[in-house]
Amino acid sequence: MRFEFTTEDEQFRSELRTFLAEQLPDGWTGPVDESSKDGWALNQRMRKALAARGWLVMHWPEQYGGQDASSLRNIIFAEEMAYHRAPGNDRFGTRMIGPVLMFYGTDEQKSKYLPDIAAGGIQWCQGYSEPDAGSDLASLKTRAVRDGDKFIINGAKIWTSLAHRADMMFMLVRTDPDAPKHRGISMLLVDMKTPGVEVRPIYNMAGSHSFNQVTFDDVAVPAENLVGDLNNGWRVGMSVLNYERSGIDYVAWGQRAWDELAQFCRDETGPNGLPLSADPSIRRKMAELDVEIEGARLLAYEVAWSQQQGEAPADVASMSKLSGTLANKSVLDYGLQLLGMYGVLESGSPHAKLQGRFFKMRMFYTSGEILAGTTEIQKNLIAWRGLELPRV
Amino acid sequence: MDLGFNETEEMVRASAQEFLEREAGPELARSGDADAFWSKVAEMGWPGLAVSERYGGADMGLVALGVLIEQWGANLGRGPLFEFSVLVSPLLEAAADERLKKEILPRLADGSSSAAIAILEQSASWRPEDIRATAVKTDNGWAITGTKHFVSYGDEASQILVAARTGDRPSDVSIFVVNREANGISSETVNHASGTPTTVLTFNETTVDVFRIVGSENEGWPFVEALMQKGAAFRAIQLAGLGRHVLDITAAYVKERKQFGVPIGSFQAVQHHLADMAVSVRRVEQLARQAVWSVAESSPDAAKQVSRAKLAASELIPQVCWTAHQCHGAIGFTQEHDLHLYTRHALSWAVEFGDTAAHTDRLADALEL
Repeated sequence: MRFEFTTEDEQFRSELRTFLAEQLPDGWTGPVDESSKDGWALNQRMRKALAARGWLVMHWPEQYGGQDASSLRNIIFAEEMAYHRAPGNDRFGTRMIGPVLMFYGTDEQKSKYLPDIAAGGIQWCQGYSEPDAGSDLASLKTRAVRDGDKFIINGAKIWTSLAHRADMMFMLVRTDPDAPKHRGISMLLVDMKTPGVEVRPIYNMAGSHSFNQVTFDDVAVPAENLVGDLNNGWRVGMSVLNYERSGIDYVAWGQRAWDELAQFCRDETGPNGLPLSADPSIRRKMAELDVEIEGARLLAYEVAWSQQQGEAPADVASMSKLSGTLANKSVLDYGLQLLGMYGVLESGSPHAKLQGRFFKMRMFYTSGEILAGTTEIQKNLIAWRGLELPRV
Repeated sequence: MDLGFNETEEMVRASAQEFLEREAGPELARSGDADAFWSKVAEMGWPGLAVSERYGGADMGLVALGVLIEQWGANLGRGPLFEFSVLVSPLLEAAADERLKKEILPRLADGSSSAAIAILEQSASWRPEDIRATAVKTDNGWAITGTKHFVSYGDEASQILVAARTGDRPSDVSIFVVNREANGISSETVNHASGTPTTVLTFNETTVDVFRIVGSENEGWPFVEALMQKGAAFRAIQLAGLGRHVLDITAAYVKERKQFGVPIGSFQAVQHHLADMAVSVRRVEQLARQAVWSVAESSPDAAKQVSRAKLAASELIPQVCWTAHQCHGAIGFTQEHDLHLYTRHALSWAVEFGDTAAHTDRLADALEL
């Protein structure tokens, strides 16, 4: 065992930090509000800059423009991007549909889409959840019916992040309503400008427009946009989730919040005239949170390390996602306690402490324990896959 | 970053698991022949696993020792392996007089004699100012007077590592290796929840030869610090091993035990208990292995990593045990069932080598709070 990265990996981390310091606006604290025009422009600029550095798809094979970067190198990238709250890390394209196309896609699909993803020139969104298909995703109902050289899609997707910015959607549709529910699903690629696609914003409880409802009314999609075999979409679609379930983003967000809170405690004076960081109860809680973050970080590293060994430990990925989201939430909860009356002054208010960020983040990251498999679903998976407990 | 075991580590893990599952476990913890077991442990060469070859050891390093202690924890190994291998031998190798090393290390490394540590006093505190026992210079060495609590294997050991005050400043503490046969030592047996033979040792002007001081006069405290850090890291990995075993037996139990016509492990409430246990065990395993590695490598982050691991292990592994009791229902509440043996050890290890308050404070310092 060895609990340190190689010198080369550490060197990459420091190059990336330098790059981020140069590219992000002065005094950048993030997180970016991608619903704003400026926020989205920054996202696009950062993405192009990452592509120019060769980092956007460094985890891809060389034949597709990547560098065959290791899973561990990759997790350093994700960790630093999240820690710096840097926009531009294109999850849907570079981490989800890109790798899916490499494995399941046709040659035409690969040559049509992969270069654009690698260049940071296309935005994807993920059409999985439906109003009546959340945790029970396999019960999805959006229909696609073959009609000559096209599929005709009717139905609705919901909670679709970035649909309002997206050029393309990869979506799961029901292509055989008579088959058992996991076996009648297929994956299709849909141009968001196709007639009949309508995107309606949903504002989240943090007040921003991050996701949407997308409806499909007789949307005609070329049959060549089928990914993988007809009715094999469950397998194709699930292959993206192990990436989604690495908890490193949450760990890094939690670490950043912890660091900001620690600095706040060093700078602020309590009622006894001493810095908050000298208060034994605060020291104790901050130490506990640090332990929680570090434990979650090692699980995220374990996911990456196992992938590097050619293993795909579904139970560890679930542990990592669960631990990461909880650790992040714990830090934000405690931050709101420490900030007290000032913590609930919203961003932009005079007198708000830490720019009202903790409140906004706490509201926003309520989603962490829900999206990509709720905490409860992760526990089911750990019990079934890791411990082989019986399913009834 | 390599979270797997290398060849040596895997060899140690496999042989430890195979041996301990056969020879140790609940039966040994209850009423087994501890002396016979210890002889077999000595034959395995484990007391000397991390001792240098020149003193009769196998020189396999602290990480390999950590792998062994993880299995030792999983199977409730008995005998002063931890005391000597983890605590006493690294300290003696680093700082003892050559004559002392030659005299005692080979016999300790081959398991023919054993060692104990006598540092804590009535306060049970790891702060230097709480060391009240004194060592006074005599014509041919030192005379130690004072009372030491929580001495594991204090009657079985042939050598006792003692911390005693030798000056007026709080940190004026020195370390001595006292022969258990020396004059003026009396012992009082206490009943420890883990079943570990434990004594209170009182030293009354006990004579110690001059070459039996470890390091220099008044400069023993850093050794105690290092010893506590090793103790904490290795207790954490021992707790990890114990937690993994408790998880395994509980998972097996809920698959087998039926109520309402189905295994109770098919109920989501039970599954989520087990999932929580699995996450806790995995986290503690990784944190504890990281801590042992950091200590072995003398990493600048060692203080942080050790306190993190000890805090996580001390909080989560007893919790894993309590959840295991809940999942076992009434049978797990009996003396007859083995589960409480693990719980007793977990509760004991959780408070050793710095309790939660002590490590919280250390970690907060290391984090510059």
